[in-house]
Amino acid sequence: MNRLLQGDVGSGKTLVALEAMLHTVESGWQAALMAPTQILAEQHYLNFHRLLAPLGISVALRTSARSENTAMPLFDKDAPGIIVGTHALLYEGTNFQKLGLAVIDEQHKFGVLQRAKLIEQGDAPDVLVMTATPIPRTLHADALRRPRCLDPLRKTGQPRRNPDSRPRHGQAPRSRRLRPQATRQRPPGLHRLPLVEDSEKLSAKSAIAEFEKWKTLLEPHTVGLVHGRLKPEEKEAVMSRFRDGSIHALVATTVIEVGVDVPNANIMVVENAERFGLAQLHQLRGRIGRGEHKSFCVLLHDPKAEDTAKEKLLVLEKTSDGFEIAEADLRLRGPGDLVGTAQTGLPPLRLGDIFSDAGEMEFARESVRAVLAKDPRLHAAKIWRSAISSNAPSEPSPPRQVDSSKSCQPQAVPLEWDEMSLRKIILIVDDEKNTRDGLRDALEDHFEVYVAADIAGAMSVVETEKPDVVLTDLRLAGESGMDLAEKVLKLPKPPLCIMMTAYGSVDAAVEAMKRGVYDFVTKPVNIDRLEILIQRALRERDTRKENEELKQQASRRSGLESMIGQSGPMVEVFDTIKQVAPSRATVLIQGETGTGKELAAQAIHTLSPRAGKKFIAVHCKAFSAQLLESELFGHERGAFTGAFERRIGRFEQANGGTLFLDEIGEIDENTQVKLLRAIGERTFERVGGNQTLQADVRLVAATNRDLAKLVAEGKFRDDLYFRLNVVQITMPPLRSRKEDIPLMVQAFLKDSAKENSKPYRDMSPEAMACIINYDWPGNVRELRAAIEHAVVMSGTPKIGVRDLPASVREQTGLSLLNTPAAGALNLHQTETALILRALEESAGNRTEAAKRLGISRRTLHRRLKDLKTIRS
Amino acid sequence: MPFAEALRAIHFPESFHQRDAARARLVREEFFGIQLILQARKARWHELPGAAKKARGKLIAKLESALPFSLTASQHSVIAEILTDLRAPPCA
Repeated sequence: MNRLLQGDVGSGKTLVALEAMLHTVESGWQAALMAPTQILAEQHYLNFHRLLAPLGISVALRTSARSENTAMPLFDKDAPGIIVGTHALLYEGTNFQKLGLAVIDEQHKFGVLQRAKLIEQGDAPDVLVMTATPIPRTLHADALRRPRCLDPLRKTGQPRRNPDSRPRHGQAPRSRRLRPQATRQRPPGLHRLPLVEDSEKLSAKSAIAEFEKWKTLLEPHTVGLVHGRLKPEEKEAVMSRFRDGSIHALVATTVIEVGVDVPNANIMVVENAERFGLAQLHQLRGRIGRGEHKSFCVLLHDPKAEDTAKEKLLVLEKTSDGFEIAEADLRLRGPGDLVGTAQTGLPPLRLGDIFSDAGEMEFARESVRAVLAKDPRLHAAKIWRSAISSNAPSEPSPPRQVDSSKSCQPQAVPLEWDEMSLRKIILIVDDEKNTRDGLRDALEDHFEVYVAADIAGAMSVVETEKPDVVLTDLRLAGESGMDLAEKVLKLPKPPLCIMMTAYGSVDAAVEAMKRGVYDFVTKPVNIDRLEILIQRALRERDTRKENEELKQQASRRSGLESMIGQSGPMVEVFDTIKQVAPSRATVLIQGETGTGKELAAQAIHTLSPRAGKKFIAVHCKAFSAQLLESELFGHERGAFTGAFERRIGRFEQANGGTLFLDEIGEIDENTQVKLLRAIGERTFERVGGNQTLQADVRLVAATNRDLAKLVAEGKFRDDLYFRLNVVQITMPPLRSRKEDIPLMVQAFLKDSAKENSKPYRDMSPEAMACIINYDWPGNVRELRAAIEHAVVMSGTPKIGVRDLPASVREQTGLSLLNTPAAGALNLHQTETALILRALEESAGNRTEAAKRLGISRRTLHRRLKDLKTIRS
Repeated sequence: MPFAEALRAIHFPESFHQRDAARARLVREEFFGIQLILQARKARWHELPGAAKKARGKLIAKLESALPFSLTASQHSVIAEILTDLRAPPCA
């Protein structure tokens, strides 16, 4: 909780605070109340003690005078539930055990840092700040930082009359006109002075001298004197005589400003009233009028006082509402430094005026609130700039009137976050000022508009603000809008360009469109049409962007994601792919059939800058020698029998992209020569053609044969081999990375179930063991087919061994024993496989299975038990 | 209006309108900064741990029964509001 409790003098704020403190104590926490003066702290202490002693709640007091004042119980750090004190609470020796609530009385009497220090004493205690007159800083921050609310504690427990406050020019004797009424009723009065001793510098009157004067004037009534130089017990003695009526009038300094409760005091004279703050005067005035008699407060001031000082006194005459007085105080004194510690005075603003720009402050408040709601950590810093420069109501608003009922109403309608962030930026470039300004006025409602008069100005805006649309005149004084368009369109992320042109130069504008300008409008510009054009252009661009993103997403899926594996050999493969992909280097992928060579080639393409272009795969083994040549390089019409028309070869098709040549070891020597040239010089001719063609192709080749051996045997050209073998990737066979099998099985189970419209079924442990034990000569391709077979064949909740293809089942069975080089297998696995198979074939009948295995039922039982232990 | 343009315009305005627009732009930036600090501070306050004070109100009841007067409606409503806050964790 962090609340401000605002209520007029005598409205019962202390009682409310006491109840909050009691609630805190009952919950097992301590509560502290910090009062601004010793008198007030002691008064709170005595009241609390009187009320709470019967309830068994201990109250402690801590003030700086504690050592002198032995009559007051000292702060007891062991057990007090409630601690009352002055600033002394903030300093060493006050070890709060478990501070749960910090109450700050008469907020305006403490500095910002003092308040913060008390709050720091606990582990994030709740905070209740009490005041009759909120300090300007708080009032201002509050008006801005809703929903921190001002509690409507306006009505008092008993009806009380507000003192009739009258500012009076001049000196004390003129106020003696009040004397006859006062003396007739014999009511105690209060006479207040700003300073206790003579001070030439401040031309203030001495309370002591004044006391002597009033003593004579009020004869035969008794007059008392209270000031800050008195010892606490002396002060208390005078106050207590004043309370019980043995002193009729009191001459005092501001030591009695707050909280001192003397019900029958009903006349107050404040000298040098212009020296006091509004809040302080309101507080002083609150000391009288607590009884049933009508009360008077006379505010004496220097006739030469400044106008603001006089205005201050008039406010007091006009109203007794603490909130209104605080507002007037804010207006007269300024809000203080909202982000620093000064509580009044002008804030260190460079330009803004807290009053005349009140609307702007409201706008800023609402905008920041919207920003923080969406982005509490302020990641999108750019948005602030857009929010700041956005086109919101910016007319200076009139100064706010003193009217508490309207004080918290926002005055500007802020932009919504989405509107701010989505507001498109338009740059208008025209050498005629009137056109620029006219267009800006027209477009400002829907866009964030920047203007420039020439190409240099336009380019600087383009660089800093990254506009979405550049609207330029074709003719700029001495320059051409076409030049600007060309510059802008060359940028990596070019904005849309729209050309404005006079009637006579439409041809030039059409020419501009051919060069990439989106559209043109003729002058004089029809604003409605222009707006529609801009909106349409932006929509088209957004759609295009979205399409590209979707395409990219789709293509990313065939990257490394499609290759499954966590084993060492596969991680090595992934690393090499990631490293080699961004380059243009030719890659040779070697590996057994079915190890995923084409997937690797696709991944290289997807992760390369060529990802947006084509990936063309050619399976060289599928073509005869002549056909392969034609397939790769294309042919001219009539080049050979059956060549009825020109054919574009794969090299040409893959221009800018990647060409994947699978089974490269199968191509004949003639094609090898042509291929060598195509790779080395990047030139080739179509079959039967004379024209030399060029293609920018990244080549990835793959083979399941040992190319180096073919080279040694003279079956493959060594120069081509070297060209191809720039980077080599060897795809590991599945049997050498069996730890990847479970992962693959899961993925294939899902895929196969989906493709065959079957429910997803898990693999039984037995079947999984079977799969792991198989040596997969056909590698991943074979595994994938086997899983699909199992998914289609299975009718049970879990896929069992019997659902697997026969080849897999058989090899993991007895035939396993005949596999000599099964490096990955061991005796335990083989035994497990045999036991499982025996159990399955005997439909779970253990006696039968034991018979098949040639062991006793007891042995089988023991082996199964061992098996379970190992698994678990 | 971009910041650079506003700076130029406030020093060398071509018209009163331009001067006012530039000023409004700069004031907005200034106030935005103040508000960011204030509201970010307040948000930090809300992140403090705090603890709910969930007393059942026996002590308050005892106190009120011992008072020689009864509380006004507005005092009651303010107390209720504060107690609601005290019961709600964390600092609300």
